[in-house]
Amino acid sequence: MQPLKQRADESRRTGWSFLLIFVVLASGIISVGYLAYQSFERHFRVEMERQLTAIADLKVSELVQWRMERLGDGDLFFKNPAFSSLVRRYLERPEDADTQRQLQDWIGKVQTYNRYDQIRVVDAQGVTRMSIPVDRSPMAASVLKRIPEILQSGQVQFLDFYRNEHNQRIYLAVMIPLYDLADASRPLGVLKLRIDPEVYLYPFIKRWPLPRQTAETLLVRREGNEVVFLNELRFQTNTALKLRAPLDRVALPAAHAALGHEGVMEGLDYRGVPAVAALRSIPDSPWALVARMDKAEVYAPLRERLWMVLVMVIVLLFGAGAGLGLAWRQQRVRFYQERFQAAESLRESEQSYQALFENMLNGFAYCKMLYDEQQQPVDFVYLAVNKAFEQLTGLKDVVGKPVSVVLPGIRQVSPELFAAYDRVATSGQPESFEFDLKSLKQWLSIAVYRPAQGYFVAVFDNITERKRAEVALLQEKTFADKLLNAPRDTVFLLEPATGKPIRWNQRFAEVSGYTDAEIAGMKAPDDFYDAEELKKAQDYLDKITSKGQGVVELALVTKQGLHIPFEYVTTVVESAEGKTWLLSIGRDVTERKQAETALRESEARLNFALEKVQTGAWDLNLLDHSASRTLIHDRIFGYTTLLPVWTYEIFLDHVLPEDRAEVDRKFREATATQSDWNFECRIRRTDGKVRWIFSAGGQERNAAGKPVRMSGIVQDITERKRIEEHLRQQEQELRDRNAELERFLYTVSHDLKSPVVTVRTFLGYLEQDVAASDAERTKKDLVYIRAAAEKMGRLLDDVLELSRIGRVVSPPVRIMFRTVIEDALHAVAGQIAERGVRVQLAGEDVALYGDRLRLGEIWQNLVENAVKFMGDQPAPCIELGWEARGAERVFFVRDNGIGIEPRFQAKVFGLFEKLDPKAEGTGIGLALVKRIVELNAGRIWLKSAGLGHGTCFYFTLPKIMQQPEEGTKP
Amino acid sequence: MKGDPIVILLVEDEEAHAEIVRRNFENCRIANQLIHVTDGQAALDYLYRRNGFSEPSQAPRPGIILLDLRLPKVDGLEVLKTVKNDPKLSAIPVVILTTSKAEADMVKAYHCHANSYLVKPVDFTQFSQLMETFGFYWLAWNQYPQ
Repeated sequence: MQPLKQRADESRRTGWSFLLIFVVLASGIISVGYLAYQSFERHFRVEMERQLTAIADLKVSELVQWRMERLGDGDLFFKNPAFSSLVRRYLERPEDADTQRQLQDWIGKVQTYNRYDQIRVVDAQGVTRMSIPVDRSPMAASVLKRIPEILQSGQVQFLDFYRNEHNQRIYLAVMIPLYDLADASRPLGVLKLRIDPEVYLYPFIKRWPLPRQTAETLLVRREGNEVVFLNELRFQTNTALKLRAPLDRVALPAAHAALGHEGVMEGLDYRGVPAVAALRSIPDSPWALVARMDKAEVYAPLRERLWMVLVMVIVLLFGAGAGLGLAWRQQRVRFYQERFQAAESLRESEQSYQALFENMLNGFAYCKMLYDEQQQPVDFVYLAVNKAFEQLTGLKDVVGKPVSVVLPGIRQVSPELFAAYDRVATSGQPESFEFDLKSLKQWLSIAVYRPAQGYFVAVFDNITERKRAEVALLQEKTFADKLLNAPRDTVFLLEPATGKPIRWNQRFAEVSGYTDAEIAGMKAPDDFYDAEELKKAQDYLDKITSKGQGVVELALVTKQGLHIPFEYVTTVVESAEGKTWLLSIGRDVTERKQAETALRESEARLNFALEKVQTGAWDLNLLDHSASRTLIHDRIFGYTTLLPVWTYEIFLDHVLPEDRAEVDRKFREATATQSDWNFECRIRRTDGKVRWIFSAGGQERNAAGKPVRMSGIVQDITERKRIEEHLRQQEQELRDRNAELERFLYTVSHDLKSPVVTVRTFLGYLEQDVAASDAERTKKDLVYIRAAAEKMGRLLDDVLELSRIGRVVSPPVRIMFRTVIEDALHAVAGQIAERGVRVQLAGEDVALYGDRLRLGEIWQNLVENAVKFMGDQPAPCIELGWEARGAERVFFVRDNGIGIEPRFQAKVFGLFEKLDPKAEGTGIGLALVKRIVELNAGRIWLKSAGLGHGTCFYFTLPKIMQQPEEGTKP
Repeated sequence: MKGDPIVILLVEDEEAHAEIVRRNFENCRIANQLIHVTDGQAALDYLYRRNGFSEPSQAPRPGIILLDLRLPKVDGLEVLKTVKNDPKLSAIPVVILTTSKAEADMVKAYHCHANSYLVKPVDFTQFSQLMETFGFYWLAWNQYPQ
């Protein structure tokens, strides 16, 4: 209740303060309003006076100007000799029409232009001699009376307002005395310029430059003790020269003006109405000017202003009052609300405390400590407990019971708990601790405080679960630590933003050579890598931060300065505070690097070896047939640089069409049977050259055993092939030569033996026949013997001849084909003539290079042979010549003799072969020809359709067709 | 000796050698008919009874063939092969009589089923003995099917 009372006082104080604020505000508003009005009024008055003064000054200056102009008009005629003489002439001779007209002209112009009401010429006697416009009425008496005075003064004079008694009108006039200038100042008369004030002066005076209800200008002059109003007034008619007022009427501004006062004054005007007036005298004149306004009109805006200020002040006062009232009212409302809320919250607080007590999860026990005589705590009694206490401890109905009953033996089991309770109950210092309550097999978190001496409250929580979790966590941590330190890999956790190492395993410390304390103070990656590696490391970490995962290889620099290559796998992990950390697991890849280096070196050695033996290497992808190759590979195919793309198909295009099918078949067979692919083939290089290559490839299988790649080597073996071919040819030649030699030896031995047998046998018969004296038989025997001996002689000659062909070689000479033929025909001319054979030559003459004798033997033998086997041909003919067959020149010897049956054609070139045993000769002719042809690298063959169809021998002689390099020319 | 004496076909291009054979047969009183042809082609023509040997009476089937190897037109070895490859002729014994002592010739001849291979001796006496022995062996002792 104390606060509520305070609040009521507060509320009252607030009320007073609101009132005070209002009073201050109100007085402020009123003062400001008043001052504002005062200031305005002052300014306004000054302004009005200035306005009036300004108007008055304006009018005065105009009036002065006007008077001067009028006097100026007078000066035009005054002492003007021309005018004076004209007037004199007119006055002397009024009948002179010309003079009259001249004068009328002159005066008329002035009257018209300067808006004079009337101009009269009056003679010195006062008689009007001319009037323009014409006016028969006499001059006003007051004017007339002045003429002598004017003539006498010798000056232009301004006649002030006067009333013409004839027409009752008011005029002004400028009077100009006229003198006869010839006769020194004899007065002639007066020129009178009459002015009607109604025309200009009165309207001018009346005119007010601003639209005002009561403003007007008065012109007055003093006449004796009176002030005379000279113009018509705004609020009173017929005043000019008629209205008069005594000068001692002090309230009348006109009176002051007439007295020559100047300035602004307030007073009562001619009507007795309060007015404000500005007073001015007009120099060089009897006039004074009064510019006046009714006071009421002058101060009308001031009154309006006053009203306005008043209204505003009142409105502001109301506004301030209302605002403050509203604020006060709200203050009151809030005050009562707060009072209500306070009461409400108190009630709720009590309720919630009760609920808290009952529903709180923590156990709550309010106890009284019991002491023995020595003031030692022996026991405590439960005074109040909540539900949670019962639930947590499992103890029921403990209120009023001592703990020694509830938990017997607790004092012995847990003396420290007892001691703690005692400390709090005695000292009043609250304590909190965790306690393993063995009596209940529970871990408790206990907070103890003292509400009163000897009492304590224990608030506790069962943290058995938490304790268990902590133990589990500890185990987990031990496990994690072991795990972290177990592998051979390094584990390193860092904060990439700062480079601060967060955690690392023992392995990292061992490898790097730093102690844990040193690592903790280092910066990663900067302190662990060389400058040239650092950029790579930093890029890697940036990539990880953005992409999440990746692998890199970096050389870790140890404390001892060793560089150990590591392969790192890094992942982003998030710390408990949400920071990004990077977890790097590193593996020492020294061995792998060494293996890689060894592999590289081995590869380099292989490449070196391949290069040395000019062997290309290729690696074919069996899935898409693309291949990678070495430069030598492509060079083998004629390319100077490595082609960007190479495929099996490109390779196949290079293979000559005749080899292609076989190469492709072998390739398919190799891939189908998963065997090696070895082949030799010819290729056409990109420069068009045909080369032999050898290639061998083996297959590589993938994990599934499927062949995916084939790699191998390729070599250009053209040279080897050439040598092989050469060797093969040489071997063949050698074999041929051997066979020929064998055949020769065989033939010789057989054919030579045959006559020996004949001779010896018949010698035996001869002996018998001689002994038997059988002359018939003896003769026969001798014939056989002779024939055999002769044959043997021929054979030996022929063998000698044949053997010579190869051994005795004359140097080659240039000789014409025709010459050779002629030699041959000459040699056999007898036989040709005997048989009556016609010889024809075909083909052009051509130069040959060779042994003239041997070349001749070819044709000689062939022609001889042809003649010999003419048979019974009635028109024997032999044709000799050559024909071109491609690049070759083929010589031929054609006859129309008996011909040779196809089955015997192979036999005819054999040594001592004779188709007809009875034919002459040993059968060496064609063997000889063949030998000569072959020695010239040529071939010989024959064509014959069979018996009776003639024979044609063909042969080539490549060697003799070209000039030998060291040949001698004839 | 039963039935008709067998006919001997001599294939020999050298007339002198044919004369030697003939004289030896005479000396040995071998009365068998000796038919002499001078080349391989003629031998085959005789055996197949063609080209002038078509009359069977003029070309009795030989009981034995004496064949030289080196012959014009068709070689002796060819003749041997033809005979031995023909079932009608292959039963006829073919005795090679040649000057060649060449091993190759012998091997070839035996490969072609020559029944005997005789080399013409250079010595007169030996030639006579050879022909005598030939006569005894092939014409006396050797038995032929009918």
